[in-house]
Amino acid sequence: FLFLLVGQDEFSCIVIGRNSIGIYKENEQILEIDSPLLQETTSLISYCPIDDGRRYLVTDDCGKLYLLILESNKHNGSSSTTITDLKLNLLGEISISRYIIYLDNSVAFIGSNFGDSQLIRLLPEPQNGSHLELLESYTNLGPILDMSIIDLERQDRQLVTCSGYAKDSSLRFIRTGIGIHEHASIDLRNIKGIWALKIDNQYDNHLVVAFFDQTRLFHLQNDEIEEIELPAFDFQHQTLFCTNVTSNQYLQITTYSIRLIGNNGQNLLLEWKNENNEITVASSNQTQCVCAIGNELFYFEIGPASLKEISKCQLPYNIACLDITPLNSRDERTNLCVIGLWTQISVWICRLPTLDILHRESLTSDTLPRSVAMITFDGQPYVFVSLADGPIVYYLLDIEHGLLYERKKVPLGTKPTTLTICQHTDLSSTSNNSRTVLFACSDHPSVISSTNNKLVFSSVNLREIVCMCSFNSEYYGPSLTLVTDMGVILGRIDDIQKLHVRSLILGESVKRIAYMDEEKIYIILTQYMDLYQTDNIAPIKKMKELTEQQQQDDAYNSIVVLDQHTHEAHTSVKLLNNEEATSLCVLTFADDPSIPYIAVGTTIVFNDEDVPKCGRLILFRYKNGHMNMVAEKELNDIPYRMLPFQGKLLVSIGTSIRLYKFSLENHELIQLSKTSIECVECLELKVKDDFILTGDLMRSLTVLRYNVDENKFENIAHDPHPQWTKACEFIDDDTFVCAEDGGNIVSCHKNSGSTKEQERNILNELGSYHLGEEINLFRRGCLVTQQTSESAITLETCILMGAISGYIGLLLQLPPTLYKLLMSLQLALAEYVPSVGKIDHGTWRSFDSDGRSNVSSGFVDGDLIETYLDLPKTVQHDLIKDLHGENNVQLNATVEELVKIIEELARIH
Amino acid sequence: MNKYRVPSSVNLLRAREYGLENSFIHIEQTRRLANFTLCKYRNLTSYHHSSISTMSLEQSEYRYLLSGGANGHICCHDMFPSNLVVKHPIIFQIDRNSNQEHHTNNICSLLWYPNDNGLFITLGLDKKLKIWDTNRVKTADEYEFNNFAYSAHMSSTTNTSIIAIGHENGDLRLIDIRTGSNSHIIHAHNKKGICLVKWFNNNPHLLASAGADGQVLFTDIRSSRKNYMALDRDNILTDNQQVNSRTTTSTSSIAHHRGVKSLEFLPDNSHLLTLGGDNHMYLWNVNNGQRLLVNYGPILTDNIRIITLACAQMKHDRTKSLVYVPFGKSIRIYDILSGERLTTLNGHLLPVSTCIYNRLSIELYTCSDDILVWAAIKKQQEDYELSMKTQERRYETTRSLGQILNRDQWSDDEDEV
Repeated sequence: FLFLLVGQDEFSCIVIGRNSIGIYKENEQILEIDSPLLQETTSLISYCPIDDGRRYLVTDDCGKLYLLILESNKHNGSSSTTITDLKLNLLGEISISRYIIYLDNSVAFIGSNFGDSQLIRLLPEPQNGSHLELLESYTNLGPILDMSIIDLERQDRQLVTCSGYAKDSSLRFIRTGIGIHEHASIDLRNIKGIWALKIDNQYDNHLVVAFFDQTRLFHLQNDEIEEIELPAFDFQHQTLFCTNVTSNQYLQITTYSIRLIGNNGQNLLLEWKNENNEITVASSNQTQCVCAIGNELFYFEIGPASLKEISKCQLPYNIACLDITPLNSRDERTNLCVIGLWTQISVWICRLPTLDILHRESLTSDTLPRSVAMITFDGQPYVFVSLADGPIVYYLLDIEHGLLYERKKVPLGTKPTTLTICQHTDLSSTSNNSRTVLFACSDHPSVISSTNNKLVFSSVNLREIVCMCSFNSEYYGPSLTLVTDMGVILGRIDDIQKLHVRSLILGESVKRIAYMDEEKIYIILTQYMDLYQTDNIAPIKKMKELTEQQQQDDAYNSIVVLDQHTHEAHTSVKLLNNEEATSLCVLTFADDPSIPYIAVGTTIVFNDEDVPKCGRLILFRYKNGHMNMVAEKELNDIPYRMLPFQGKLLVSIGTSIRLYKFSLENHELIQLSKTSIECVECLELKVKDDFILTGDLMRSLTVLRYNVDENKFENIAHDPHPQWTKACEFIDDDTFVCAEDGGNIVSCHKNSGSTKEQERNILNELGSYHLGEEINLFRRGCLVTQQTSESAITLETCILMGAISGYIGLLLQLPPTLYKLLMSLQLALAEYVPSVGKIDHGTWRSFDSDGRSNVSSGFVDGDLIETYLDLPKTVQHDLIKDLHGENNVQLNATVEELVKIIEELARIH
Repeated sequence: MNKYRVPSSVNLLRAREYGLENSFIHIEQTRRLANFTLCKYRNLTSYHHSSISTMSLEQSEYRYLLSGGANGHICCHDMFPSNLVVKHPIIFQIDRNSNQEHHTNNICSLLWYPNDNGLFITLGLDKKLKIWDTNRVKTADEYEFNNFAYSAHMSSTTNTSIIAIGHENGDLRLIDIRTGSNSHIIHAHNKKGICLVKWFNNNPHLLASAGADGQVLFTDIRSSRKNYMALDRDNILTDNQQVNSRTTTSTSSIAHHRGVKSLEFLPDNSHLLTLGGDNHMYLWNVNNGQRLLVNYGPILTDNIRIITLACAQMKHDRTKSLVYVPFGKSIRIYDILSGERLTTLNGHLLPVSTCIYNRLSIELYTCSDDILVWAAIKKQQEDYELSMKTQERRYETTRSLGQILNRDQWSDDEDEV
């Protein structure tokens, strides 16, 4: 069936069929393998030889890896061998592979279309029943079947894709954010605080870790961590603050006392304590220290072997948090102190050393300030206050008068947030410059930094951080220690936001996803196929619901409801035998706006039937973890897509589009309207305002409008060219984009302004572009939010597209002037930048579909444009020296302007 | 018929979404190919008063259909959009009322310039070959011959400019439209004349010509020899030794006993279908000239001089190939490689001369005295009729709609299969 290999010494070949393996020799009988591993349903996919040519790795479509051994006996004296037997052993389970390549030293690479590609090591002895060890896996999003963009409570968004097939199927949660590169981790729980100390070293080499009633000290040398006890430190109490202070001394503030420590931690130089009460909060810099006991505030100055109490004062309420970090990081002292108060929830600024109150600012919040921080970004001092329920409030600070102004509030996490100032070093830049950033530790950890006088909140891809400190290690370089509820991570964070992918393995094919905001749930349509199932991965739905009878089915579809946060399956509904779910949407009906409904379209598939003849629309209501079916409607065709439309349900069913309303009295879906038949198979459906865009199986796009008064669909315009459409989307009211079966995208324009009716009815092709990716879907939206207001581009028209290969692309409508500029830059770049395989850029991007071809137009290749940023300055200048637009109009642009625009474009993906 | 069964459309769509199926288009085409039915509600704006002798579909957009009548009139229809109910407009017409440069006699050949649709070529029985500018509908060049020419063809490979013409006296004339030279003549056939010429699909130098005596010759225009192969109906591809021995003795190389009426290369470039006046259709291997033993049964071709067959071959599976053969007033669909007759399309009232398959919109255009469109829209059409009938009941619809419904219920006759 599949392929053959020729042996070396004799005329023979191995033939690996779909479910058989045999050796064919010249003039001899076929030697075929007889193994229980090869069953009727097995289908072998790929193979590769292992060094000596006597062993082969073979994989099948269920993700099983086999080892094929050719057994041979040597002829006496001669070097030739004859193969006497074949053996097949099961090695273990891998991703469903497309290709397998044996590298060396029992390491093999598995290239997968449907799951993550993997690097595996073959083990001579089985471990946990498998002969494999997974060394690394490489994220693969493909094939993307559906995706959904979800606005999280905070600024950022999450993209959820339905990826993979059969056992490798998963939901992928994609976010832009700052990733963590872990160097080392320590398994410690219940940590309250962490500080880095430089003891007898210019690099940070000790970690002070505070627990509820004790403190521990760790010494890090190279990659080894050991717990030590230095005599001058107090380990019996919880440390509130700890730092290096002036003249090689250390300051440890515990709930019990303030300790000034010298001689590399051997000698306790001074200790200050208040006999009656515990210290509640404290802060310090190189030469100054403040601490609070209840509502009393003490101020100290630190000198060589001296800790002088300079002043103290009493505030009306207990102090919740305070900070005296110098606003300029090179300074050793500051003359301002910020204080957050209990009860009267407010921030106070006081002058040091006198502790005069300069300013009181009420926080107008119900929850406590949890931490405060003073920090300077781009020369502008700020005061940040984090509140106990998550959000951050920040003010601009007038240093002279200690005034706070221009209050802004940013929601971040939902748990108490701790603010820590840390030094972040850009590793990518050669100058190794470090900048000060503010790290907000919470259940939504974020890095606050500033670019171009604008604060940027970038989320860090960790679930929860309790506290952190920067740690400039000799061995690891500049890094951070991050405390999570699972332990301490020593690592480095990315310099910029990147895409990060988390996956949730489902164990059964997932086809569609919808998100219900009201209940914070994902609804997914899955297909379970017994054939592709393995013991290792259980299907996502609750096992208890599987009765004996259900387990006998080898394939069934179900609707599963997942929690947004825990990703646990709340409930699942199994469909009938042979019933396949094809479409899904969440909607509220105009007649019943209070409750969201889940609508599912299904069809009953018999394999011997050419075109399915029946299907159902099912309407569910979800409440408290239960799906209740409220209505059901029989159909005579396949419901391909559905969408909410003006409080009604719009469904594309086979050749027509129908509109349903829900009648509360009868619990029934009532068909309101139906298009007159114009399509072959209406595969795709999109809605914008009154307008409906449909993509046909082979007839390109049609735009319809729903006329409410007459309850009729009106045909607005259509593209007369036959085209095998796969997906489509609105760009704006008059412009549409569609993806075509040959890996091309086409944009169409509706000529609304035309006076002739005939012209108005026709969609003109505006642009065509060969993408080389088979797009499955378009979704409006984009992953980043607009950062700067004076940007040249708007993100409103952003469209994300997902392809079979796992490609996610971003389409953006450019303003005409920018388009002209970038288009001519593209032409210049295409000539200058060497292309892969010497394929001319224009040739590669030209539209080419079964029998039709056309030069690419109307689309600018972002990948190519971004290469401009990497070119040397002189080349950048040369390239734009004579840019010409259409009709040879000279386009004037400076390198700086262009780089700024392109960087801006690069930032949105 | 089972050969043209394809997987259920839901499964197929699912496979495409997962990237498991690369030839989705071709499979969907296959599903439609064998299920053609008459598009009752698609009309072409009527134009021809005499019978239509030939048609040609433009090959860059698959959109414009030229048709030429027996009285020398030519007309061009826009075949888009391929909706269920549509009246296709005439783009332009060439007759004595509208164009002084019209043909006066029967149109023998209509050719679109293969590379773009800005040019087309017409050959008439008025011994004239005209090259037209499509946009202005004016002749760009004209050639007049001394004797009748029955067929002209232009190679569909890119960068060719040579038109081959078959004359009644057996001469093959080559015209290079770039230089305007029309002097190159190959004396290929005997005096009985040439009925048809056709370039090979994939080679701009090889030419097949069919004579009124039933000879089919392959000519390489670069060589000085008359032809390099003559198809012989006794040269049969078979395992049977007896049959083989008989072929070697045969000397007369005749493809058909009577004049050849149709010559059609398959899209795979290695097979040729010929239809003769002897009511036989033969399938040939063009590389070695052997006839494949496929029995299509007798195909009656009386009255029609030149018949155009339409072949459809699926790219993903070359064995799935169909031919649409005009058979009197009906069109028969055969599986090319097995000779199995799949179905018959009935609808014309006069003998059909030309079938053209539009592989982009998956439609078939056929002509006798009118042009009909066939497509796989049985279900939509039924739905449409149903919805129209219900509407009629509701509103007492206008007369025009009633007229549509009262038209003769032509349909394909599947009982014969």
